[in-house]
Amino acid sequence: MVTSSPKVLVVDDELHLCKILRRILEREGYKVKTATDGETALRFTKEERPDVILLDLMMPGIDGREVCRRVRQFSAATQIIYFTAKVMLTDPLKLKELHREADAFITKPATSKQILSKVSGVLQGAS
Amino acid sequence: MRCDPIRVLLIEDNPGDARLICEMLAEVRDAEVEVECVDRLSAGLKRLAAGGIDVLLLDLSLPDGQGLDVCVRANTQAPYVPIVVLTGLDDETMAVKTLHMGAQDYLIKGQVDSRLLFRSMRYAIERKRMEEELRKSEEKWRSLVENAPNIIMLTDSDNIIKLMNRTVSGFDVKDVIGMSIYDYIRPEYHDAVREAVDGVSKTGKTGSYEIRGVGPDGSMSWYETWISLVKRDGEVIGVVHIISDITERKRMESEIKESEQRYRELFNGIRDGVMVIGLEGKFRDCNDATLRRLGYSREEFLRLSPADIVAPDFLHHIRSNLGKLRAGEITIMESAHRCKDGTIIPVEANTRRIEYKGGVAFLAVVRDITMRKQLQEQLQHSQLLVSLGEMTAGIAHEVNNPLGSILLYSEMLMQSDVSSQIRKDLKVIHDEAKRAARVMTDLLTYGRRVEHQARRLNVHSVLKKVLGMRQYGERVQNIAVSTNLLDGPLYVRGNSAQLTQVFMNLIMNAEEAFRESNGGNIVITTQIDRERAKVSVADDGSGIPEENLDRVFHPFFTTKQVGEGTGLGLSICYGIVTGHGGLIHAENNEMGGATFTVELPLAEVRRQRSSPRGRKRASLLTT
Repeated sequence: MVTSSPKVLVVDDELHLCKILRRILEREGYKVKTATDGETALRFTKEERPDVILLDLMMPGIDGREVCRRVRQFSAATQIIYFTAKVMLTDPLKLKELHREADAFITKPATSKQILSKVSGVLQGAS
Repeated sequence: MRCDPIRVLLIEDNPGDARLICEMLAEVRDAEVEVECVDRLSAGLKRLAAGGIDVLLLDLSLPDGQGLDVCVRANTQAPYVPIVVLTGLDDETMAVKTLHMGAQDYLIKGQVDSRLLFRSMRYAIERKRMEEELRKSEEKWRSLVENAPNIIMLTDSDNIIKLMNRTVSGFDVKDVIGMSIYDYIRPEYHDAVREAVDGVSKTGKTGSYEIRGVGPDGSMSWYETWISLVKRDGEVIGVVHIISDITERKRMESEIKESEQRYRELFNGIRDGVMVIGLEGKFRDCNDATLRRLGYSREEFLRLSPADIVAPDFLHHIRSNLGKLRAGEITIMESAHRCKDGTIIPVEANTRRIEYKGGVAFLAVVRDITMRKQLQEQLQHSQLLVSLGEMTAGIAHEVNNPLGSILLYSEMLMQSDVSSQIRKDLKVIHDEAKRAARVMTDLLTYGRRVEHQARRLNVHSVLKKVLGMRQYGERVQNIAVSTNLLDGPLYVRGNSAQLTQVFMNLIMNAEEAFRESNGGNIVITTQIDRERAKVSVADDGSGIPEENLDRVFHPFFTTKQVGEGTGLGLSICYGIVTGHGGLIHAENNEMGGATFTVELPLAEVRRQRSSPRGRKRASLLTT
């Protein structure tokens, strides 16, 4: 069990996903905040300074990659996990780029086990 | 009896005789007789030259001429005037001689009376006229024969040449006459001549023979000879030969023959089928390509009409184009031809109106477009895959998000305090969501491109890896796999993971063929054919129904139970193999099962013996 209760920001335009991810993560002891668009995500990141952002890529408005680029500018410590539908992974060149940008990568759909292991993975890597 | 007076010239130097003769002629009652009398030959000849004399009464003893000489000179001066000699000399020898010199009669003075003299004169005139007619007639015939363009030759019943108007170079007519025709004609043609002459003799009809001989310019010429019998009083006395120089005709004939042959060679050398169709709707001619393709003999084909070979669906197309064709338009039309054995071949026919043997016909140039059709179908199939890939990429995002929710919610619920029945039900929801996710993964494979990841790889290694992975499953299912691989590595350019997927798919499909039987055999073979590596996976299962052979690579085509397969496996294989610049095809084999063959471009051309001795036959697994 995590002692210092790491903060996780879940960003996804699918409200259902945000809700279930919050429950899964909270059950494991994480402090969870959710956002359904890029701008809210950026605001929360500035205010809360989350340890991990679980970041959807395809969103209306500011998309996931733009959020990532901006977060990197003011918070180097924040671990960013791209959480995306598989469609992105069909282009190998793009896939390489995405891997360079993010600290980890989860493809949708994923099981709770896969998600939790990625989150704890990046936190261990960062500490 | 003639009405015109008979004009008589009397050449007589004895005035007494002259008067006596004039008196005799004056007594003639049957005709009017006009007599002119001269006493010198010279004067007589002069008068003859002036003309208008019907008969000449001539004394042979004149002051300026004596005896036969008188007769000769008179005859020379006026060959057409009959001469009656009237002389005092009773000499039978002289009489005969004068007759030979052209005189008609020889009368002795003192033995002649008026009636005898008149009759002699009249007969002389008549005989001379008949002689003259005969001479003219003969002259006419002679002129005809001599001026004929042909050589005319008469041989007798002993084949001796009796008459010839002219001869070929190297011979003289007068030398040839009297020769046997077999000395005149070259020995190699004797049989032909003999045969023709015998034939004519037997049948009485005309016959002919052809021979070669020296022509007028010294070169060898061809002669055609027509022959027929010459008869007198119903009895055959010889054969007439009319000989024509046919060298030019022969040359033209051989040129036409050569030209015909050249045209035939061209006509038959064309790979497309060429057909000539008469207006009455029958085939009139065709080239060899047509016969080869359709499987008919020429005789069979020329009895057919287009309706016999054009597949029925296309006949009305052709009929509707007839008007255009008649009007001289060129039509290009796709249709299908039925071979003698029933095979249907897709064709493109380029048809137009032509002049043919003095009439109008249609010329159709027919191309076999089987290959083009196949390529079109393949292209359509690949286009379908591409658009399906694009569409899938779009859908995937939309579907994967809700799938993610379903997965996570069902997991969450399963971990909460629910009854075991509900947990089982939730497990179904969870598993079904996972299956849907797998379908999406399969679909997305279309969007992949291999070029970024292609590298040189050994097909044999990929195959061995796949066989290793399937080993357990096959053992429990009683499936024996044997390989028939070329010696050494077989390099292609490609993506190892994708090709693994292809071969895995093919081998699992083959295993699937034994689902309902207790085991079976799978044979995996590699070959090199035209710079391509060919990998075939053959099973002895139940095969693929003929109507499905073309469809097995279509997306969502499956024969499995609903829920067992996505129907995408072979379609994905197709996408991967064509993405590698290769081909994949399915056919039924002699074991009763199906064979799938993958052809991939070789990474390098290897010098390799593909004889059976060079193969290693190994059974990896037997149960």
